[in-house]
Amino acid sequence: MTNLAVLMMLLLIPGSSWPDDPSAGLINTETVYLHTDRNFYIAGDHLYYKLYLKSGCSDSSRFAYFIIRDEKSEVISHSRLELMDGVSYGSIKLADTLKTGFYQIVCFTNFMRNRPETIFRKEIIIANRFDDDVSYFPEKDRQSSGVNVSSNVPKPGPLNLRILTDKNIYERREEIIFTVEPGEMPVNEILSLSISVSQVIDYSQPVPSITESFLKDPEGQSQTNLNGPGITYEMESGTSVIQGTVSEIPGTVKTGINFSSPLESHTIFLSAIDTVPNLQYTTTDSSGKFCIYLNPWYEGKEIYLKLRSKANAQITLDSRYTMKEPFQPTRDFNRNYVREFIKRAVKTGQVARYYGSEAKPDTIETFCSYHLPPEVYFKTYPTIYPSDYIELNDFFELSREIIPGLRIRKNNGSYSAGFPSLQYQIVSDEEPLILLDGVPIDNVNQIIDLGSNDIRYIETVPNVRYFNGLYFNGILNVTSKKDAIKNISFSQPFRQTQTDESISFTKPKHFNPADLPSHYPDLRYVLFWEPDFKPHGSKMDFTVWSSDIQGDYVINVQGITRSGLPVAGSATITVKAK
Amino acid sequence: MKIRHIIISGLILTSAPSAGQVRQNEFARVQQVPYQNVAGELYTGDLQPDTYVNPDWIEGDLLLETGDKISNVFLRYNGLTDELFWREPVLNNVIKVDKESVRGFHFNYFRGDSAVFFTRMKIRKDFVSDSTSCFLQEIDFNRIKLYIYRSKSFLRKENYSVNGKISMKDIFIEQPIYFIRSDSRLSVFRKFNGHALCKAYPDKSDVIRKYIRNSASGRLNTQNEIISILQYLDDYF
Repeated sequence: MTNLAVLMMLLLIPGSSWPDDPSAGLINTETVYLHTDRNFYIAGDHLYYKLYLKSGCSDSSRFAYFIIRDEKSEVISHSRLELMDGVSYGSIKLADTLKTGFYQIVCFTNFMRNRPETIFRKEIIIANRFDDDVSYFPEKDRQSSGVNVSSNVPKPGPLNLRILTDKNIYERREEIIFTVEPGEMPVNEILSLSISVSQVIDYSQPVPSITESFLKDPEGQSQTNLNGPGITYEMESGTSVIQGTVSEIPGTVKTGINFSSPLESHTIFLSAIDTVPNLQYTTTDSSGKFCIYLNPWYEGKEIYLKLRSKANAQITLDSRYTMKEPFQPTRDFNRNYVREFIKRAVKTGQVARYYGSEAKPDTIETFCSYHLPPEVYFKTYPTIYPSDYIELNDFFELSREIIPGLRIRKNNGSYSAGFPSLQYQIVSDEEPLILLDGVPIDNVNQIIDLGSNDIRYIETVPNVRYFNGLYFNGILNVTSKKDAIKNISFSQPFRQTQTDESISFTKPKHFNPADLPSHYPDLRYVLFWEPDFKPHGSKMDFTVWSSDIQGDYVINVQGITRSGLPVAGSATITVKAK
Repeated sequence: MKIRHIIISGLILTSAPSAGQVRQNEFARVQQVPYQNVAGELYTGDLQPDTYVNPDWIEGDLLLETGDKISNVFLRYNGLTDELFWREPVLNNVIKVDKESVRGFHFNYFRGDSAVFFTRMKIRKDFVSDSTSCFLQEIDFNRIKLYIYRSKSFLRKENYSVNGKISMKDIFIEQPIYFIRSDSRLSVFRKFNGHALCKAYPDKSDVIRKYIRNSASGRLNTQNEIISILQYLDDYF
């Protein structure tokens, strides 16, 4: 019995398999909220946004993704946003060629994709100034009539801001003065606000305010990854992530049954075309998945991913801009109102384009800091320039005549390269690492046709090389004159893709009536957009100018406090002719 | 029967939380590359202790050009060839690290000092050669910095006997070269003494002479003596 008690004690020792924290298995999540300057655009306009991130984890994502999809769920624009202190702001130029119709904005971080229900979605309408055919909008009519802009006004609460205007109805080109009052909290508690004064179409369900989005009860949300047996999406807290899977090519399995089975412990090389031989790598896990925390040097570059070893496999890369869920517009709107609004907007858009009155955004911050490439070797070895010697027809001749130490052998019509002087070979049957234009290739056969006229220079590293945990039987680096790597067909599994780059923080110049010639029409739908207002002092007063366009305008204020709490406020004003 | 019940319930108790463990692992990060951009050459030659500044492996940190730091690794620095060796922890191989990939390194404990830092700098080893990258020990005072290039050179061959068998042995001597950086000026001292110091900083010769006169040994031979005078002089820069 004593032995039994000891056994039971051992079984119950914490730390063996009993989790210290009962909630350790639960994943925390992130939430984003996007404040746009309006919900209606003319193709060719700038869409201004501010993105807020709330993180439920100790760490938070550094990048967010912004997608615009059309009604066929096709992505018409995608961007990566850089977050600083949990916010990002900027502008997206909408293509001139977009058709009139409904579009959806989707915003998320990579980590949020583990719980797709947390992804931010918002509907907008884009009208093309050459496309005033509004028959596109379905006949279904909502029962309500007229405009109900007050639907954007958040419900009263302690985190709501009060917007006080000097009056409710303004004339065209009149000064509008409003004050934002922070309710129960002091002004200096507010960290950052985004403020828009714009005409919005009341056509669909109201977009919730930041307070409603961020304070949503997470109880109703499922705690599981809804992406099925796919990838668990990593948090990009420091660098960008590339994820994917290595699996056998379907239909090539001996049994003839189509299935994709994962390939474990395969090394995947990542590199980009450059004169500097560069490399990053990772290995697949037991289910064939891999994840690369991308060196920032690779951002915005075309990268090559390939398996180090031969395998009857394929590399599938995760695309964060592909969404399985289709976009279905709510279609819950006042048909006549929207049609009239679009017709009028299309005409004003044509006139505005004629006068060229749209302000270009100012760049506030760019994200293209300098990073060093992950070099495969640093030691400088003698460089061979084939142009210094007599012309040689192929690489076999080059190796024999001008590359010391390298030996290329021909066997059954196939070539193999090696450094015979290597005293100690870690991977005995492997060729040296062969790089063409900075990218690892499968073997020397792929460059055997390159002659003196194709090659700029050759570098050899004739010793066993160590690189971040990998060993190579020497390195042969060939830099071609005309990016010969682009003509190489790889026999080993290989993928080519373009990496993301963050877009800059931008905002428009505030409108100044003195800048507009008096005989020019003022056709602004957005009277004011300030994405990053940081309160100073005790008052938050704003002065804006109404335009020539009559109608109801919404003053929409969203923001966060220093303690990370969301704040929001809204008010409606009307602009009328005398 | 009771015992069986207890064992089964015990097993259930231990297996239940493992579900939570699996779930936690499910969201754990997949394997990452262990180190950031360490490149080097596999070294299979003898590590002749006499040529090394630290004859034994010393634990320390490697600071890479990329800004990454690899902590708690075993390092040896060869003063004769100015080469840095790293014992990589996975296969325990000795790697001669590409000097250009390293910004510096740091020994946790070296000759009685903790946190001794070496930085890579371009210097001229002698009067005739071009400048080249070398690892120099860096001692940071307030206004001035002292860099010590711990160069080793061959002195002579010496007989020694093992089990009655006489062999020849190379004897190496450490010949440090000192560099003092003040403002934007770098002064080189192949022999560090009061005369050289006064020549390099004539405007401070009175202070230097006064310090040497009042010091216990009246000389600048040991490293501690050099550090002491520079600590004192730091206020005058």
